[in-house]
Amino acid sequence: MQDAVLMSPVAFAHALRKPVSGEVNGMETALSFDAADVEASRSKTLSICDVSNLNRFGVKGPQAANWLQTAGIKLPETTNSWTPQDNGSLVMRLGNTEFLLEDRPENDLARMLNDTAVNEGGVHKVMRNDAAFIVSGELTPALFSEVCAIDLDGATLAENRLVMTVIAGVSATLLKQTLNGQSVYRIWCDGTFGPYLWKTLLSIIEEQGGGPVGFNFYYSLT
Amino acid sequence: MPLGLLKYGLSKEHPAPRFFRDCTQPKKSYDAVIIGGGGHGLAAAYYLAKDYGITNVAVLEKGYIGGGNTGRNTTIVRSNYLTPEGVNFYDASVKMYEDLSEELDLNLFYSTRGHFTLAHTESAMRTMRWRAEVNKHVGVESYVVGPDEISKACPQLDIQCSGQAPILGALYHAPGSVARHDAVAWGYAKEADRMGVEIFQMTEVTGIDVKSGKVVGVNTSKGYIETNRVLSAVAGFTPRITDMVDIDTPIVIHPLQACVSEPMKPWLDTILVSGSLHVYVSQSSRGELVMGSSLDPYEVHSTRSSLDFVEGLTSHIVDMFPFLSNVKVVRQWAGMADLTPDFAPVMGKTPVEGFYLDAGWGTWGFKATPISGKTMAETIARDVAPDLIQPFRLSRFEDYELTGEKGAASVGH
Amino acid sequence: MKLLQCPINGIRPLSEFTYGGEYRDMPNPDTCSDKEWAAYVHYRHGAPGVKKEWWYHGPSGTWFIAERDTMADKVVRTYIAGQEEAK
Repeated sequence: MQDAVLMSPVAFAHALRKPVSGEVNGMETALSFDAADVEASRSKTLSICDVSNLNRFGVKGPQAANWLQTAGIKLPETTNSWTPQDNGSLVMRLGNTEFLLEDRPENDLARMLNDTAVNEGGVHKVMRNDAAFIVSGELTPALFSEVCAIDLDGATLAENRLVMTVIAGVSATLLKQTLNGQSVYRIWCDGTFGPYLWKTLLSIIEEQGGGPVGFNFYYSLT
Repeated sequence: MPLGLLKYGLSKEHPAPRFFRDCTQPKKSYDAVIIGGGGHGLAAAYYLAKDYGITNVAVLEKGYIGGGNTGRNTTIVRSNYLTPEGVNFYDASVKMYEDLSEELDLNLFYSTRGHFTLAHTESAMRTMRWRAEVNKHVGVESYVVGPDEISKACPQLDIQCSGQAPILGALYHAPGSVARHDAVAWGYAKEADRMGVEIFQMTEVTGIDVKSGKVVGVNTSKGYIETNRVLSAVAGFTPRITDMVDIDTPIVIHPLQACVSEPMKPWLDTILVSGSLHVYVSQSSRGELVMGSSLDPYEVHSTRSSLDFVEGLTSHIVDMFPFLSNVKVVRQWAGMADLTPDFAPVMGKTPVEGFYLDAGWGTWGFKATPISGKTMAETIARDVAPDLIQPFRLSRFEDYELTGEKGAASVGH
Repeated sequence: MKLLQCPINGIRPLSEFTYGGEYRDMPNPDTCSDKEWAAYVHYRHGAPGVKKEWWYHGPSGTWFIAERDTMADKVVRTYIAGQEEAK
């Protein structure tokens, strides 16, 4: 029997563009869509990248914060904010008692936590099946103004704030971070809405002269 | 005709015949008082006078007659409901409507068009087959048709719905009709008035006098009226009236919005409904497309309109008829729909003796106007609700005997 | 575009929210009569006024209370259930 390879929830939406694909964290992912210089120029104008394959760990419950702190994890102090760990992993506080961790490809924190058995009350693991995207480029405000009812410019996403809102009709979590020296937006939504959101955002991005970039553009694994 | 109009225009005393007397001050007492001068209240007054000879009746209307939901619905008359109770009841109404113009001696522009309930999914098709079988069983002409037959009846319809929600078939209901809704109120008013019923417009009920569990009178903006029998037929105002007699009901009020397009040459013969797209549309005798959608999602006691409604509705209408994308919406409005949890009305007697309720008409009231008037008249005259409306009694909720009607316009499948 | 204040996430368009019906106290099912229970299940206070209602902010999964005038459709205030004193 063959080992099953998980595909990105967005994989079928990519397929027509024939990206160079590969396996990252056990998930088949679009590594690149075009030559490196083309993707670099897109990322300055307007681009979208599928990073659903990054490892995530979700946890909630009244004791979740204690449990994470015992594991040596730095937590954001207030709801709707996030904080980076020293190794670059993101920790997001989605509610008073709910957290989401996401690793960079070279980190192992989320996988380790997923493998840890929880034996105490008040801590509940949350299964995640997110579609996750990176959106970057100077025309990002034009994109968000078409698909989002609240203003994501300025203070809304400043200082490690995160926002849960509706983008193009889909409930999503958003934040702004600096990645490889570039300011980018991160978007998470339920995996089943992933292909729709990818197609909708990409059609606007291409109208604006941008396009897709592959996973390797941000996380070169060489 | 133009000369006749000119003569009317120039005459000092308006010679056009009035439909009913201009009553101003109510008498001291009446045999029955009807609250609400819409189609239902006026029909009940008419049948009280005609069937039971009870003519010492006052109809109290806080606005003008037919100005509430009677003049705000999308005028569709049909009987292709889901439960046998519902189908029997609405079928009796359709049969009364067919002869109503003659009976009231007024052209109601009653026009039998055929009614298609479109199905976009297999599960909707299953519901259509279910409804067709229930309808056939009680002798109502409904059957399931395929896309070809729909296209034949309405070639302008994009069967693929712009690729968004392809139409798999429909429930066809031959007796489906439209009528001039305000004329129904006027017709009943005219005939009831002719038999002696007094209609008071701009007369608001401010309280209902109950002594030892019995109605003894009503307080109005024009003074106190003694009566032992009161019918409440006030649709969206029902909870305010039932509060006056301290009766609990499941009724909640949500606005139901509708709009019309600019007039066009006649092209749409049939009535089309799509539960999945939450749209119903027909073309009026004036050429306007009359369009409605689902209920507003939360309780509001006003008849305000919203942009969200037209945006949502028109995007679905354009899915069905792409060529309408340049046609303008010229008017929109709302009615206050009185909803029940089982999408069936609340009719008949109540725990207060002499207080009768005709309510819970949600999105299905206009089509029931004649039969509700007739059955409520019988209930008031004999103090017994006829069998036809027994399933709709108020006490069904305490007995957990809800009807499970889901053929109402706003319910998708 | 109508706006509503979510006590956690701030002012958002109404399209992000779902109406959850009027806030009602449940009678004790062990001690109340069948009639009281049927009334709780089916009957509603349908007359207009300022009502306490459940509302739900979909993107964040937040249930909260809005006090709203159902005649004018104006929200008086919103808060998390049990935390109305704090607001």
